[in-house]
Amino acid sequence: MRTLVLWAVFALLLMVLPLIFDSVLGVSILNQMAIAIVFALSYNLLLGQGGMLSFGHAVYFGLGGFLAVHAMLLTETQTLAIPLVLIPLVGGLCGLVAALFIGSFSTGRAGTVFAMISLGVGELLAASSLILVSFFGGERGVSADRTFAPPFFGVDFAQDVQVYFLAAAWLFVSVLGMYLFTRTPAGRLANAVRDNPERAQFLGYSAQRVRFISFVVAGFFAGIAGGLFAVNYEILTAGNLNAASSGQVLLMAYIGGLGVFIGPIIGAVLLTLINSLFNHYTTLWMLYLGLVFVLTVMFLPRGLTGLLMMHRLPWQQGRLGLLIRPYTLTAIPGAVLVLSLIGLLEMSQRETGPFVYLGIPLAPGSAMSWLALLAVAVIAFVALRRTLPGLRAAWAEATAQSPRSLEKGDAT
Amino acid sequence: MADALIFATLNGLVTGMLLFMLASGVTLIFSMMGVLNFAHASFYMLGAYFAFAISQQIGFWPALLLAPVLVGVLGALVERYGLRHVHKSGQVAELVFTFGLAFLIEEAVQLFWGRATQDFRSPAALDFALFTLFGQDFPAWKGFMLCISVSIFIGLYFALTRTRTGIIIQAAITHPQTVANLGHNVPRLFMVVFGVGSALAGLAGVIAGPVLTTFPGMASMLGSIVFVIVVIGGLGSLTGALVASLLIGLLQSWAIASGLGMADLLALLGVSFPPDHALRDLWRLTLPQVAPLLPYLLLVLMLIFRPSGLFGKRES
Amino acid sequence: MSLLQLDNVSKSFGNSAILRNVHLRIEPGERHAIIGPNGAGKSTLFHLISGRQQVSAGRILFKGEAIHTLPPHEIARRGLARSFQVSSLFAQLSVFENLRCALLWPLGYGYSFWHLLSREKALNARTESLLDELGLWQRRDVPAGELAYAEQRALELGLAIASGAELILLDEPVAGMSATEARQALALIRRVTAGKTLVLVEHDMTVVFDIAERISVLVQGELIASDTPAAIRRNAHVQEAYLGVPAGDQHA
Repeated sequence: MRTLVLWAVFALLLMVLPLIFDSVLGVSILNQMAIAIVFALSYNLLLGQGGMLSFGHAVYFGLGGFLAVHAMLLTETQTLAIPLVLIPLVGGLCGLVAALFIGSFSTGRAGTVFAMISLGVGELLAASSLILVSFFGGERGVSADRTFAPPFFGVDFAQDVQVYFLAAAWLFVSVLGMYLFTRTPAGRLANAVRDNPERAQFLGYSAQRVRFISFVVAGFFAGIAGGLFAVNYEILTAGNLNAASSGQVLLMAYIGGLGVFIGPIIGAVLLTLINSLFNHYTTLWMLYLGLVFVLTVMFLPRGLTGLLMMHRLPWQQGRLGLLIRPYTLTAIPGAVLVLSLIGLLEMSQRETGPFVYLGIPLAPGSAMSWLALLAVAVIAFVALRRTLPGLRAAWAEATAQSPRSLEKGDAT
Repeated sequence: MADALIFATLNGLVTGMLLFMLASGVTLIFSMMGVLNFAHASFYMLGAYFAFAISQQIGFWPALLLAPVLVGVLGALVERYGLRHVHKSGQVAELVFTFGLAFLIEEAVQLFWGRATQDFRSPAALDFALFTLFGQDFPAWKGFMLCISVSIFIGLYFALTRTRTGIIIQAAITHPQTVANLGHNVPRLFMVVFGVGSALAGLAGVIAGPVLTTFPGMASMLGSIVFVIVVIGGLGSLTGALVASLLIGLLQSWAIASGLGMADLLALLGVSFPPDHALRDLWRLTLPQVAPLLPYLLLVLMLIFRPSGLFGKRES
Repeated sequence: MSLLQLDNVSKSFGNSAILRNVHLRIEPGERHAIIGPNGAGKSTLFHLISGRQQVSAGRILFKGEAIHTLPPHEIARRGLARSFQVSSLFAQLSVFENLRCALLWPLGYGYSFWHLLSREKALNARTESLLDELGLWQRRDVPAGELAYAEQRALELGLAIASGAELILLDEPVAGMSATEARQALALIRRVTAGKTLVLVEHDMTVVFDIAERISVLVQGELIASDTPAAIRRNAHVQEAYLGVPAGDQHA
């Protein structure tokens, strides 16, 4: 019952969002998020659910997208009339077929060998895309016009917000589909094979077959995301299937959190926001992204959702309140440190022209600005270090097992 | 024809040995620590950039010595404070970490040096032709590259088979636990191997920078090829890395030099297709065009039919 | 026809021979223990039977069918299950999910992606009763990786017997347990393997003589005796292997 309510809320949210964020930029970002969410969730079927690290997942996204654009072109030239609402399905089927073929030889094992095959296939395809010009369009890619598709109940999809509802509908269907998959035998066995492929074999299951199924399903939904991309941007280029795109989706899933179903959704939303908004403010956003990525891998291996889940135990024990004060005490110098470091980096990029940073005027030409920021950073760092023991102690207390749970033959 | 073949072979050897300098580091690190280091090519790039920056201040020859050392130290720090920490989170996390590191280094390089290609030139002292054959010059710089890479290979061989540390390293590759039980400091060994591997990559960058151009994309350009080589040669085998490096270097060089294409094959068979045929891209393919694809094709084929590579000992 | 038949089974790794010419017959319903000093090759024997490793020579027949060339999942499907000396569980899945996974193949779900697990009443009911039998009901939602040692061993046993396999191989099921825990574990083993054929590898002699109807002794890769517990106790070669006293110098 509760899950039904959650899905209804999700659907409602999707319908209401464009009304809240009704600017041109807002709708465009919403569309981007929809595509990114489907792509990231499909990736997590491999990584988080199946334990398969792929460096070439953009292949299915890209191939799906290219076939979708060609389908749109066929409609344009009146060779075939495919309604726009079905274009993502075209992408999905392309992704499915590609995954059937590639999965047949790459799912034999997980781990490093699988990652290498995915990388090799991805690079192979990205390099081929510049050679096979008739399908991939060479340097300029392939473009189409979505308004040529037969109108859908009078809608010609000329406006972005109309595209949004198409994307939102496919988003809902895809999220639901992938969620349900994780609750089927095949989906659950993917978890089992991730945790212990050998034991799964001794329970009667071929690990290769289980991985293959996840692989194909993931390819299908990645293709749908590619199709949505085609509908939204009306152009696909070789850059959509290269290692950089595969890296992006890895980032989204990892930062959001691999272990929980909604993790990649959060990662996709966050990263889309960062990609769209931050590049207005700074040329260094890719560097910040890289830093965030490396720091996440090192200190938050379970991503943002993992961080939230860590608080489940204190919350259950009613000890969440204990953490409020230590968190504030650590957050303040932490935030100051991060902001001052960002300020220093930004100054290094602005040549000598003065600019305003967080309301404070800074002049990269003057040594004063540099020294001041550096001093702030050092002070913040020292203050931060001082708050850490208190934080650690508070955590230990908040997560200590209560005596009641200790007596029932618990771990010693 | 003969001159093209000779030069292609020479160039292929130079490239091959350069690739081996990189692949040997990746192989050593993988063998010892089970980590496929995506950031290895990034250290190669840093070597080039550091050498460029140093050579601008105090000249090329000091840079040749200092840059690899700097990169090696950086590598050791990465292992000690980064990789070792991530190791607890599993193999996937380690791979993702090195992947993220590669990305970060590329961005950092752009932060300090910008996106443009750097004017990193080989020193004037080596700016002559080593010999001239059939009217074409073979630059002394390439000869120098070959000398360095071959000496590194010989040095590596001796270090691993004749020195005490080398023998311990060889043992730790297959039996790390036993080596630890015998009282050797395996974590420190890891740090040393990672550092030396990175230094080698840096050295490769120093000598390749002037020839292959110094720009932020140089890491991704070579990175995938190096992995292809390591997998084809067999994960964990230095001999395999050598053979595969030379194989790839020579194959690519010959392919580019040959200028042969599908058109020649079709002419041989007496077959022709109309110019707007659906598969016209395929019929117009030439070997030089396909050259960048060859390594990946080999990789995928190898992983399907012989995942342990040509000389492989262990998979993961 | 014996349930499990090993004919001349040998296994070598390079030049070292781990097992040599092992002949073994396990009859249906039997309770058989395999004992021997450390390094005798007992675990390797299990690996060969369950398909984890390949025989170097000889053959293994299960219900008359040759299984030594089959992959582990094919062997498991034919009704042969095993537990591991070091618990081999699905660490991130809950106890309930672990057991449910073990029931998927036997209950015919195959690789289905069109059934919703939460709606499968028979499957879930079977899992619940299995939880009960193993005494793990209180811990059903705990991830397997967080269980206490004895609970992990119980789950380990549960994964082996859940499928309803006819032949169950248990690799040192009570290793590392206190006397009380071992007693409870044994009672559990007896209960859940009633009517099945059981082969276990054990070091603890009390357990062995308590539960086994027949005992085989493996020493340095060779099966030196296979008999009733009483006969094994008296066997001079066995005593030599365990006590180091040469056969000729022992009392009858």
